[in-house]
Amino acid sequence: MNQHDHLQKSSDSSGTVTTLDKVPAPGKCRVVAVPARGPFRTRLLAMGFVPGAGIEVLRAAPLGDPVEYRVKGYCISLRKEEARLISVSTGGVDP
Amino acid sequence: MKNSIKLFFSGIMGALYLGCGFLEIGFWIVPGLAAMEVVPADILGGFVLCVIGLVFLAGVPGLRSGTPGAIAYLFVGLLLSLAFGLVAFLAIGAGWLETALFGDLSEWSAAEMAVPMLYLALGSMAGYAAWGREFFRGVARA
Amino acid sequence: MSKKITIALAGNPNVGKSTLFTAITGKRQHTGNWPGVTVEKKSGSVRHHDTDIEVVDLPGTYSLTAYSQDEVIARDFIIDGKPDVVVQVVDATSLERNLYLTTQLSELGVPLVIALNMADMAEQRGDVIDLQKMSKYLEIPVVRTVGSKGEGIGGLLDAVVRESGTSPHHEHSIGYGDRVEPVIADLIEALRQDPALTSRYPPRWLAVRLLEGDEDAEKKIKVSRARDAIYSILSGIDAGEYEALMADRRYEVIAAVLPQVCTTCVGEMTASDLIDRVVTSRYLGIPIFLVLMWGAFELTFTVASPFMAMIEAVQEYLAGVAAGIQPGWLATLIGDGLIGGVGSVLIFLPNIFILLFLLAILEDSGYLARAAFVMDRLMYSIGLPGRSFIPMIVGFGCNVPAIMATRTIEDTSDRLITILINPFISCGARLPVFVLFAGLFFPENPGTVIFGLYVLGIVVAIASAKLFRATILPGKPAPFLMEMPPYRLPTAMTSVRHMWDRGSMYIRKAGGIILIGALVIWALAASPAGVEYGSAASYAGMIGQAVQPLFAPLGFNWEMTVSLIFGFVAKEIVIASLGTLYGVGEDAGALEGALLADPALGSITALAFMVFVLLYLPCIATMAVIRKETGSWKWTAFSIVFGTAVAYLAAFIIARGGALLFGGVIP
Repeated sequence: MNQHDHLQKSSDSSGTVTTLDKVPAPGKCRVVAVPARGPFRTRLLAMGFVPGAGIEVLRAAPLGDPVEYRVKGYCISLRKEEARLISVSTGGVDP
Repeated sequence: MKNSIKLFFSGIMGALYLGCGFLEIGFWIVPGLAAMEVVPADILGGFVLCVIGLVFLAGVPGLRSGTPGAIAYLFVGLLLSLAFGLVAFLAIGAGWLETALFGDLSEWSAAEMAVPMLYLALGSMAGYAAWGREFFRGVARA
Repeated sequence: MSKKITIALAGNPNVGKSTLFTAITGKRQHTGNWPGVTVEKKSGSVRHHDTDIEVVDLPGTYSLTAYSQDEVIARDFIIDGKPDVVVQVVDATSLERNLYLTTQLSELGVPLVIALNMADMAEQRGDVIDLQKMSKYLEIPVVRTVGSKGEGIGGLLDAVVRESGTSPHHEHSIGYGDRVEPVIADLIEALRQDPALTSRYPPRWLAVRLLEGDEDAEKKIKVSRARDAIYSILSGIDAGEYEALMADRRYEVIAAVLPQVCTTCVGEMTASDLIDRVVTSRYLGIPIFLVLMWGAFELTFTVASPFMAMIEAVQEYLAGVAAGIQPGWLATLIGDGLIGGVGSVLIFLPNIFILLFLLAILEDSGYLARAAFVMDRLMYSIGLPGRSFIPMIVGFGCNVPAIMATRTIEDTSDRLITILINPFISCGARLPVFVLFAGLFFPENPGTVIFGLYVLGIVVAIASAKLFRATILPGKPAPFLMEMPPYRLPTAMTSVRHMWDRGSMYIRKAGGIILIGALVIWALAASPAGVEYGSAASYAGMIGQAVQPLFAPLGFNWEMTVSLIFGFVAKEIVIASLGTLYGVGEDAGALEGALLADPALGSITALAFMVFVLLYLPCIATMAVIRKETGSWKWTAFSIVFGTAVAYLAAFIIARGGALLFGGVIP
């Protein structure tokens, strides 16, 4: 995961770094790095989960999983175990 | 002013749907209870009515306090109510068609149309006529 | 002299691509499959001024990586199918995500035209998009369209014809920055060692794909003479890091262009957001989903019933007419074989068309994505994605439309498992058998027995799903990464088209198999010449008697064994067949008496028989759609063998277990 650290944007250096599945709904955060591997990582990047992108955590499904997010102006859902593969920072996000 | 009409409408529709739903389930579970002319004994149909009623009622607190977005419950309630009105209408129509083709149409009476899923939807038609456009302006055609 | 060109429609899912496709081609379209896969391929044609335009609708994709089958199909067609122009359909209300695909399409070096679709929606919410500026910055013609109203089609086709005249574009690819560009340059240099490869694929595109760790591109390199040079470049760098840099850079470019060409009004609460708050809410989400499923079920099976009765009536009438034909064997061939066979294809049409119409409405409106969202957690616990739930529910009515409903599942192995477990869900045709036997042999509590059979079917389906996940199709459900598209009002035209395309495919692809199957069974039941149809003296009867020893451990006599063979046509036929075999015809009361009087039949054998009917091989129609939807005879055969083995095992356990418990021989 270390090799991705330099991808952090300077504006994200404040605030705690955690994984996306830990951010409760409703809430906001910003992508720090995408430690996922393989084709799934390519797909995450293509869908807009690029370092620096703002994410809005919209709502969890009735049984708590998956969770719906807004990224790059559209809505997308991810299971928690998949959201765990995205590092985010909760500080320094516009309210 | 307008909101109080919506509030009143949601409350009434919610109570009617929930009440009829409970009756249909009750008639189905307790064999001794005789079903009314206008409310059949139907556990699944009763469940549907209950859910529609709950959707209407779930919007009532929000509409009362003026929470933005509470109106969504009213519209989803209206949509479900109309959709199931149509389902009931088509199902009854299919029954009529089958009787007309293969059975004796004199055994079929218009009373079969008297199910809450159908006649309660008439109320929602009024609600939809009044407020439907306002909401669906924001929804594109596929 | 008229000109002929081919264009491909590309674009993200849910951008109104099929609506635009229908608006362009009208009725002149046909549906088939992409070669070698079961993904639907739609193409059509239109004449614009003096140009004949062939339009191919590519699968909706978010990017052109090798992530899914759809993406590989789309990019292979653009590279190998050599369309004259690619039209990217862009959702004007979600430009940022849509333009990501544009950056990838432009790397392919084909002439590109953007159809800015659903422009009316964007305008309505207050967005202002400057088409001319957008066209200038992207160096791609941009045309405003509204597919649902047919607006802008002429202008789009004008632009397409204009572009088709231009020589292959310069690759207006974006620059990836100081860190990435040198590596791309090195890779291109290395690729040039293999001219055959670079003449087929744009070298820059291939270099970018390789940096992104694209499996499909790596496969191409493996057999290339440029292999060693490529490997030595790639081994020296951390490709994962470059991949993120490039994706980031693409979005950066988009972010730089967007503010110049449009002002958007995002951020306000949309109608979709509001609806989602209700239909995916904590307490109401699942009840609303279940209620909608009940509605779909009610419409599919109740509303279809008079139409099915009509088909049956016509079939019976024609069979009656055929009965008068001389000689007798010809009468049974036409009456029982041909008319019966065609009837068993047509009888499912009302179900299938209604269900497919409803599915199209659910899908086009955007609710299907919410249904998957709501049910995913539950289905995930049995190793399946949320989208598998609807086919399982539909299976209680009929397995044929249920298996067709698995089309909404993207991942191949998720879909295969959902198909394979579906025959265990007890369909409506099995109910008459249960009602007869449970009523006769469990007169105290037939309802409980029937309910137990339904539960057993579900348990076996779940256990099989887990078993397949542990053995032949290992792994977990595909990642859920799924767009929740904004809600839309489905248009009747598009939904009817969907229904018709898929429904007519059933007749063409599955109809033949069902017909042949029915004819084979008829031939076995009617020969040798002169026997009573379906009796013990027929070939079918002889086969049943020959294999009966196999079923002896289950306590089945030869009449029951033969009726099971006929059950392959449709499971409710088991009863009619038993009537023939016991020599009581269609008299229900007489059959009940005969069954009760048969010393071979006790309550335990009856239970074993019902369990066998529940689980054993699917009917011909189900088998035919399994073949059609999996595209493989191997999986079809597997389904038949697996189902029958499970049925045998379960019936064996009941029969022998019952014998052990109650002592002695099977009662």
